[in-house]
Amino acid sequence: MKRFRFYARLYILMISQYIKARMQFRSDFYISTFAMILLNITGIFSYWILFHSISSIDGWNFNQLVFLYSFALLATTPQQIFFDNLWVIRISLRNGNFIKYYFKPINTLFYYISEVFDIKGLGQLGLALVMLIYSSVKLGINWNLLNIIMLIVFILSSALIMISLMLLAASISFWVIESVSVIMLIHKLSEYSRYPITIFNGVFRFIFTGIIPIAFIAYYPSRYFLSQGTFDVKVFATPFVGIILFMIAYRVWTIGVNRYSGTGS
Amino acid sequence: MKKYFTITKKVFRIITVFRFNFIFSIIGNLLYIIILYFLWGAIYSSGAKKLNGMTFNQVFVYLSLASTIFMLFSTYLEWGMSREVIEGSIVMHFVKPVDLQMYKLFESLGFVLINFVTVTLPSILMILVVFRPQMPLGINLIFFPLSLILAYFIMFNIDFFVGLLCFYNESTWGMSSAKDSIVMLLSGAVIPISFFPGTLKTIVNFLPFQAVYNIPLDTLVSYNLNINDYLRNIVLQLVWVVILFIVNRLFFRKAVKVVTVNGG
Amino acid sequence: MSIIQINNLCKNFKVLNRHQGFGGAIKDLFSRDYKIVKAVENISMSIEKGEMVGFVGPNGAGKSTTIKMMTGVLEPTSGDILVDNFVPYKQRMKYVRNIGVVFGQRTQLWWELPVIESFRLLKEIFEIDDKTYETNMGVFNELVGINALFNTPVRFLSLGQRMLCDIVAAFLHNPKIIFLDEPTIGLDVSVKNKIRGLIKELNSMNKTTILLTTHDISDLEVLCKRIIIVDKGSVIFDGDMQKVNSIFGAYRVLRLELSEQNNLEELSAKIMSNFKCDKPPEIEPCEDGWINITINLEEIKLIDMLNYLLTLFPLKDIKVEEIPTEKVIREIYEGGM
Repeated sequence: MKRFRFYARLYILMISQYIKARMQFRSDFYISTFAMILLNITGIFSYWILFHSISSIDGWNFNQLVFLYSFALLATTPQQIFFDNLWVIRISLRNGNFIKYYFKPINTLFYYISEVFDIKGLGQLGLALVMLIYSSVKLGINWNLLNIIMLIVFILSSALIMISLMLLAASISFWVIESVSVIMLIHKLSEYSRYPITIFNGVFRFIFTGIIPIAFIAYYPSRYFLSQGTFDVKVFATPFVGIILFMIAYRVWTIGVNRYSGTGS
Repeated sequence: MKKYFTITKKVFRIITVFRFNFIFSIIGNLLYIIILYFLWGAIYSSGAKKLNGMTFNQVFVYLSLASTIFMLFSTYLEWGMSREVIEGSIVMHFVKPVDLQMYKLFESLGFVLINFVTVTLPSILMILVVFRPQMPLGINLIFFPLSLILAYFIMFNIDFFVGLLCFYNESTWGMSSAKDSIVMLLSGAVIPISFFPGTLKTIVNFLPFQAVYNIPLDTLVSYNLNINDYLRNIVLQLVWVVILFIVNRLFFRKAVKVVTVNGG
Repeated sequence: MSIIQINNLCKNFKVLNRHQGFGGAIKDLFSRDYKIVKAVENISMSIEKGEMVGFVGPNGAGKSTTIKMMTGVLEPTSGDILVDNFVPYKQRMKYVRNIGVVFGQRTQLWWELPVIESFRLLKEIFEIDDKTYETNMGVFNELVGINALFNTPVRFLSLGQRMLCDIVAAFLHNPKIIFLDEPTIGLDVSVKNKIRGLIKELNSMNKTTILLTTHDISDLEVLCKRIIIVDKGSVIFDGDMQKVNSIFGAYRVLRLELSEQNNLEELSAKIMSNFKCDKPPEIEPCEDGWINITINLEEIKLIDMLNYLLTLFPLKDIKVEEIPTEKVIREIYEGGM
């Protein structure tokens, strides 16, 4: 607990300094926040275009898909905001700067991710909340206390799944430095979590549930709120999937850190 | 001309170091195509044979090739230009007897060739073998590659334009992502243009983006076009190439002052 | 008990064999052709508390790999390292509280933040108490006037300023051992002197043990009593800096300005036969008609050499110089000892 407070204090200190420094680049903040929102509006917009020609996809109407989308967006936001530095890990690994993370008496993963706080992710968070509220009003979801608690639990669990997947992908860089395509692939996969898993055939349903569990990021939790009582019991596996996956990902990260040798002289 | 081709060759050489990335780019693209297959399968499962004049098969070929072409055209041009501006090394181009726009064109050509060999070709083969899609087999097969080359020149100019915008600010991610979002949506690469509602379709037809994806893809999959349509589309693409090229020339003259006045 | 104790340390790396040319690049895409590179082979050394030791060797000699093993970044393939009673790679988190590391080419300060914020973060990270922090910051200000840089973001510092900040930052938590890797690289002479003064001061103040890696031999002359030279992964010399110089103290460089061009190989052969030496003397041409002849005073007397040379050709000018340490160390690398 004492250690946790130490890290929490340190994190707040580092991030507040980081944000202060980033505010020198105000135009970057505005442009990238705009791009972030645009990126996601494009996704919703394509549903909107599609629903001019059809009335449902696999039994899901437009508002239900928006709900699913917003849930997936919320679940990826913590990874986007807190773990954004993972995207560029290859740069510090390649030029050898990564070894500096070994010389401080703090956790390497903590030290690494604490260097960046992705402010534009807040734009994504805002948009996701607007979409969630819009769709749940349209769908008449009853936000009683139980549902709100479940929403928080599921969002946290799904976020942990997303973080773990990204951490796994980034850790591959310890073995193969030029592996940004794996990170991109995982990032793409997280976008596919916005589709109902039932559109796939058995093989892919199995893969997306049991192997790369993106179905837990949004589909199963959303069903809990959308199907009023007749949801899949798998939804309750979400927190466990998150925790187990994170344990695996963190282990791989640790092995990678121990394996890295630095470059240059 | 020869000096420009050495640039292309240099890129080719550098990029082969990144072998791991190609394998995952192909896997990534294949996965997206699989998703498309199931998603549009679900959309068409309600019984309609045709939606907005397109069969499932046509939509599938159209969109899976759109993704493959997107990867073909991924040259990270604006990222490179932005980095050069931030590092100040962009001025090195101005002391050499080469034109920046031409230099960048041939540099990105190197990336396109690499993408073609490592990602596009395997992806196309996989689409053909795994999904066995049907498409018209006629004169369109001649016009498609021609149209694709012109599409590349349009895309290059869009990238170059965004690269020049990066002279004015450091928000590379923002500029690049905004560009990708706009281009992908308004070009039909996410949803075919024929699905667009009326007014939007009209607007999109007056923008250059649909000339990058919709024109070549429509050329390939549509049964309703004749040789006059193909020729008209090629001319339209040519017009866009010329317009964008000139716009970039003028913009470059203005943007270059930002860099040279402020120094490296 | 030595503060650093290393026995039979080895480190091997697996490296991909790259192929030449265009076809080779394609081949590399699929190649699984690896070879084992022995970066460090059987290094042993022990360093006492408070020592300042120069650790030198040519590029690729295994210096960095050894330092990385000593700082806990790399796990050795075999052999033992004990630094301050820690096995570095095993107890990293506890161990690094006791060491400071500076890599000349890469900063460990926060790039975007003002200097003072980096120090404040270090204070939190190393859990330094207020008193120690204030005292050390005071000392740093006295030594290098760091207060004047406090509000400048690290990325706007000059290389010299950044280096000074990086060095004092490594001392902030009162570590017992400091590893300095190329602290003067790329700096001009006056800044180099300032940095050397700083290192010397910090070393004597708290009896901090310092291991210094450098390519600049004058760093060693000013700072180190003892040097360890590695080459091809092994220690080839470990001893007094003075000793290095005294071994070669018997050598002098005779600089001659000749009035006409001479065939140097012919000259070398003539000297050899006249003085009956086993090895040809080292003769190198310099600019503007000067040549350098390195002679061993134990073999040939200076006056005899001059007399002999004067029988061969007229000399315009003569200078006698001691052999520079840099050259001595190079001689040792090349197996001249």
